[in-house]
Amino acid sequence: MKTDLFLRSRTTTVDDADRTRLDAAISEVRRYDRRRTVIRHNAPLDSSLYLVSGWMCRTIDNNQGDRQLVSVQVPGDFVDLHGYPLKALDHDVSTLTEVEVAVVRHADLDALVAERPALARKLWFSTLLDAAIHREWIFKLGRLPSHGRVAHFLCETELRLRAVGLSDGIRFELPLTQPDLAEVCGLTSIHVNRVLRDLRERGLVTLRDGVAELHDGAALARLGEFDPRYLYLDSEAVPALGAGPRRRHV
Amino acid sequence: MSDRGNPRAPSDRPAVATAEKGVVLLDGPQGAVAALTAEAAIATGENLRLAALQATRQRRTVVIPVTLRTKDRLP
Repeated sequence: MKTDLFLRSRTTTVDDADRTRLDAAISEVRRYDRRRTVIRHNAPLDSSLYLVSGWMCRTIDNNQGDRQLVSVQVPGDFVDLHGYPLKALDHDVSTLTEVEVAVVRHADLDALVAERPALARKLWFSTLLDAAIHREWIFKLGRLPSHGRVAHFLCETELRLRAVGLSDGIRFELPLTQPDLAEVCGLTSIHVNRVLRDLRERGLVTLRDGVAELHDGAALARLGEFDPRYLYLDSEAVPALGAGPRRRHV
Repeated sequence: MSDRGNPRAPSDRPAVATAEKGVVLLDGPQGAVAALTAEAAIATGENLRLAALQATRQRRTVVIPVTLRTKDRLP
């Protein structure tokens, strides 16, 4: 099924009947080349895209045309399910790699939501999960120094990929360039380059040829103050690498 | 003063500056990061020095309120 990875290993799961129904709502499957803008902000929408394979991102440009990467989508994610009620996006959606996306028309989502309220709540859950990740990115950019930002993103990405079977807990494909990482972390490419070298020299992680290898996930999680609870993962299926709950100050 | 646990408090930890490929990388506390040209870094350093002198003079003469008055607090 195309939607096999949807909400895989989360605290809310999708049963076979709902997954079959979701698959039946797919009207077509499209492929896009890497580095293509697929949806422009403010463009009217009548369908949403589910990412079957490959990597995509949401981006916002400033007035000078500098891009901020505001989220990264991996297989199993809906790219723009929030566009279903909103009918337009406040950001662009682009591919990072070649991708395969399943198109679900909003009219078909209307029928699905009316027919299966439990599945509707799971679709809602997935947009709330998006929101949780956005909140965590605000924390990351607002509170963490450069090394922490990169460490946090790598820990998050590893767990998200492990949830859908695309990381073994140590190695995973990371098809992002240093400029991409810079746009994720609110840094310059030179800064990212320096941070990655430091992390490598400290024996925490190596990025080479589009593959990340975590040598000390626990230390990386501590550096990134990474508390994975916002990912709402089934902790038995996807145990976290490390840091545990973030300290709460009252 | 410390920035731990109080987002309104200024940090007592200095920013760390390093040079990389002809650029100055600044890693400050409270998530402040920047990459500056050497010229901008020198000018920033001077700006910081002057502001720090002014802040030191202010600290000798001004009592900075650290809590909101009761009527200003959010419900």
